[in-house]
Amino acid sequence: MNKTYDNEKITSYLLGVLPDAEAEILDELSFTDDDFANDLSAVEKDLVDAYVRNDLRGTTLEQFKNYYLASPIRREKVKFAETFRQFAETKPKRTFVESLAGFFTIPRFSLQWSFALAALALLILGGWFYRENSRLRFEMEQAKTNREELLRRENELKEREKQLQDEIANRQTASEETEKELAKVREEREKLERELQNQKSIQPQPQIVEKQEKFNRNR
Amino acid sequence: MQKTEQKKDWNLSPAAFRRLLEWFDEGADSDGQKYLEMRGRLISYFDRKNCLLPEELADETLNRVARRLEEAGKIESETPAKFCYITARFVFLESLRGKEKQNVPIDETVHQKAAAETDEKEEKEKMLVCLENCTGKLDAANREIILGYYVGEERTKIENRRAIAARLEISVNALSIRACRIRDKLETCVKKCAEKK
Repeated sequence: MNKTYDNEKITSYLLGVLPDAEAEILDELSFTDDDFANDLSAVEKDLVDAYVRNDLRGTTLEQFKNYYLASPIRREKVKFAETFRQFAETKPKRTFVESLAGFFTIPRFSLQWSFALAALALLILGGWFYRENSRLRFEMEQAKTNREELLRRENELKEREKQLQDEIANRQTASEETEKELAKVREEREKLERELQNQKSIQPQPQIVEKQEKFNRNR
Repeated sequence: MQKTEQKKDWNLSPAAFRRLLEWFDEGADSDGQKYLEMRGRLISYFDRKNCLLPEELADETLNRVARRLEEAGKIESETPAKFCYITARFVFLESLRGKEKQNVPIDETVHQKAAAETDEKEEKEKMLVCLENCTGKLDAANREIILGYYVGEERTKIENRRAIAARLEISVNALSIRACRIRDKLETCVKKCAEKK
């Protein structure tokens, strides 16, 4: 838990108006107590800022001018506070364009050139990406057209294949029927030949011979 | 007499300086931060006492502490902070006795310095450029703190501080410590930068 100290007492100490005995206690605390050292630093900064903003009045202002400003180190603190106030108060009011302009008016060449080169590199890279993007988009469109053509061709071929398969199937059916008819005719002929043989073994009859000749002619 | 001569001739050796850093760290390794912090406190102390050369007196104090450490091997009677304060008090009292004739009345000092500050406008411009550079080196969170914490008049400033503390989910006191450290860091950076230009 941080201890807090009386700001008014610290201000009196900083302005050299605290009685010696009390000042000595605070002297020691400024070394041995971190909380006091922090408070002392914060109060001093606020006191200096108040002077810079013309907020000090009466005896406090007189003591500040006569005692505090007597030291070169403390005058440096006041100078810093004045500059810092000017800097901090103008900082948030700056527009983006002003900040950009300010950036290039302050002499920090290595940083500025680095940014300029980085911007140029980004511009070149951006152009290259745009070109590559257009090329790839064109190639993609072309590939899409090719694919569609191939799909159409594949469908055509499938259709043709189906037609041919149907045709083969039809022919096979026709061939089977012819085979059956041929087998039937053969069977009939064999039957007739057998009958003929039987007839020959008994007596040849003119009607049978005639019938055989007719059959042969038909074939 | 011989002892006084020895004290005057004593120089801070690298080994003695290392021992001093270790003593400030009290077992931890702060990478010299504790030493720098103590030197800062010493300078502020001598400055608040209106000594003409606070930095020299701070270094003299640290030299004496280092010499004591070398002679005694260790200092266990007091903490480093307390021992430094005791030593600094002696150095301050000695400086009052020895340099009374050199002391310049405050009013005179102010006038002398005012005369030297003729190029104030130019210097301020330089500081603004340095401030821009140094603020740029801070990380975004610290930049936001430092720019928000010290801006505005009384009422606005208090409200600003409360809002920042709430956003960071820390107490106003913790924020104050953080803001002070950032400002000290910024001030040191600007000082170094302005000296270079």
